[in-house]
Amino acid sequence: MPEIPHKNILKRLSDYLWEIPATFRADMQVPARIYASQKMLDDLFRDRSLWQLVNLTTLPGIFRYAFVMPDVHEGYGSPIGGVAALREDDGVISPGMCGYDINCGVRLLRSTAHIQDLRDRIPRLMAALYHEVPSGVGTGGRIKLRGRDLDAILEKGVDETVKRGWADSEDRDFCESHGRLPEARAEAVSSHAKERGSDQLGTIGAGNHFVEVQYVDQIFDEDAARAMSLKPGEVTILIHCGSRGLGHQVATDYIRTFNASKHRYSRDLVDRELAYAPFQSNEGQDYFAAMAAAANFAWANRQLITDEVREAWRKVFGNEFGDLKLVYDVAHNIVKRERYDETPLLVHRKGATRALPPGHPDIPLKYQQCGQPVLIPGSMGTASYVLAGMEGAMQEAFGSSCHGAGRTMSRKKAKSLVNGGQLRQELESRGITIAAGSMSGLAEEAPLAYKDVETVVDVVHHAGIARKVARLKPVGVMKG
Amino acid sequence: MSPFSLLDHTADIRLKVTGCDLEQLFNDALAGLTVIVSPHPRDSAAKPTVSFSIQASDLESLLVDFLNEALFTLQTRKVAITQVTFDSLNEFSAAGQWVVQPVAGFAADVKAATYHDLKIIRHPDGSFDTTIVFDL
Repeated sequence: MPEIPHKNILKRLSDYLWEIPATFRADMQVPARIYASQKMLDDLFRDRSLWQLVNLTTLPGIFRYAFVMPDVHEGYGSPIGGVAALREDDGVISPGMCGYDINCGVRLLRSTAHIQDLRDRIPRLMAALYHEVPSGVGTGGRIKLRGRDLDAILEKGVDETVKRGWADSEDRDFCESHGRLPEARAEAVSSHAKERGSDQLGTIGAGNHFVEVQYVDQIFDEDAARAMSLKPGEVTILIHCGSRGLGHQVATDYIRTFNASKHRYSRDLVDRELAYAPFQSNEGQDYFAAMAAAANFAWANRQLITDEVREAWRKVFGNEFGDLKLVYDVAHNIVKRERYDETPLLVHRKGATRALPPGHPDIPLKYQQCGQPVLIPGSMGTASYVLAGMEGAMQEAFGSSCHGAGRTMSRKKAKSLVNGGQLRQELESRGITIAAGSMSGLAEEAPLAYKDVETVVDVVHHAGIARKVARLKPVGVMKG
Repeated sequence: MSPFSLLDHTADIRLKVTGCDLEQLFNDALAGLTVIVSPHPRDSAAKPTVSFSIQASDLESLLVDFLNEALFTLQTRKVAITQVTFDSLNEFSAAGQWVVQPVAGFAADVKAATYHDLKIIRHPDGSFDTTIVFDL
């Protein structure tokens, strides 16, 4: 295995930014950067995150540097929290850098209900959510799509859900990229992938995916919070999910193709999971079209879950508090065509959120003054944050920010330390209602398995990438 | 000694597998995957089979493809694989049948078997070992 980074090779660029020079390893084409506080540095060397980061710098056509956000942890191929931008004209595209859960992401809904007015009814709301939103491994949704119907979702994303009455046009306006990547081609998605996803629209699955009911606990930036219609005490709902089996299969298919000998452009790769093809090649274009289709499927999935969440809300509260409105929807695992320094690039984000600053043309008019909402879920039972994109993200981070708290402990170890039933009791004693299908799955997601989200958010805030707008505290968690 | 063991990974899971020959390696890897997904079987007297036929450019790819095809079968047919029979198996291809059993669900969601840092080591006595990372 090529040399693993160690602490004394880090160059300090600021209080929150560190660099591994391109001279560290012979195959590095550009430096590798790390967003972290001094206090977080030691933890970064506990797993193989930084070895995986350095591997990204070897990809052909990489622009400026690869970097990781403060929620970084070991993944496969790319570290989670990794960002790399590759030139469109002579660079490559790597399915392993996007990951299997294509367009895993989060969306935040807001209400005008104050937590004090419905706290007693949270258990009823959680039961209704558990009933309305299918969850768990192997659980299908209410809608089964095949043939042209499924292709329309793949190519049109949220636009198709508007047409079918599962969304309104306002929902579309508050999704990153309007919930649709135009480069999608359904024909680039295999029959295996379509079969795997055919009954999964509107389902959250399992693992770290969830629907969480929260309230606005603290406001840090009043102007931005006003623009996002977030008021102290008002109830919000956060949805975390992705492209389900369809996206997993798209990644599987193309990583296989790019690893096959006749297509292997990347014979000397340090890690075959990062297998790539030139973006301009037929294989590269096909993967991009299939990835975009899976991303559209994920946006449609979160939209259907939104429809189910709204139904649960109406069943419990009727018209008492009005309807749930979408604040924003962001992708975490995606490859997108963006321009920096007038250079067309493929920005690969693996566990990182787009974070556009005020005035950027790609964000809704409502957020032009404050910047794009950046949604950061904390670990279960802790707080989540709403941030707003800043100019620093454009200048040095390809318009990107962190995406969550970031794991520090394996699922196996978490399960050995935490009893799911006891964790549920502990959370409920703190006023957080749990609706979960698996106590073992609950234990895997115990807060002790994650970094402190406040520490992570403070880094991007102080680094000038995204500033804190509001903190959200949970009162109910629904998981598969 | 167990033919496989589950090792720590910050977010996902590593499966270390040994096999006295290639067939045993593939069998043990599949047994490890079954433990990871932990199916909840339904009572059923029927034991249907599902055929598979996989070609790959090298042994590592063949193992990854075999496991991912098994995952596809588990998730789309909602079954557990209780037994595997190989009609043929070499470095570049695998063909045979899976005996399956209907399930009510699974305890864990596995997205894919990955190539991450994957090397299959062939020992002089003809045995094999490897470690596979699964995305959870």
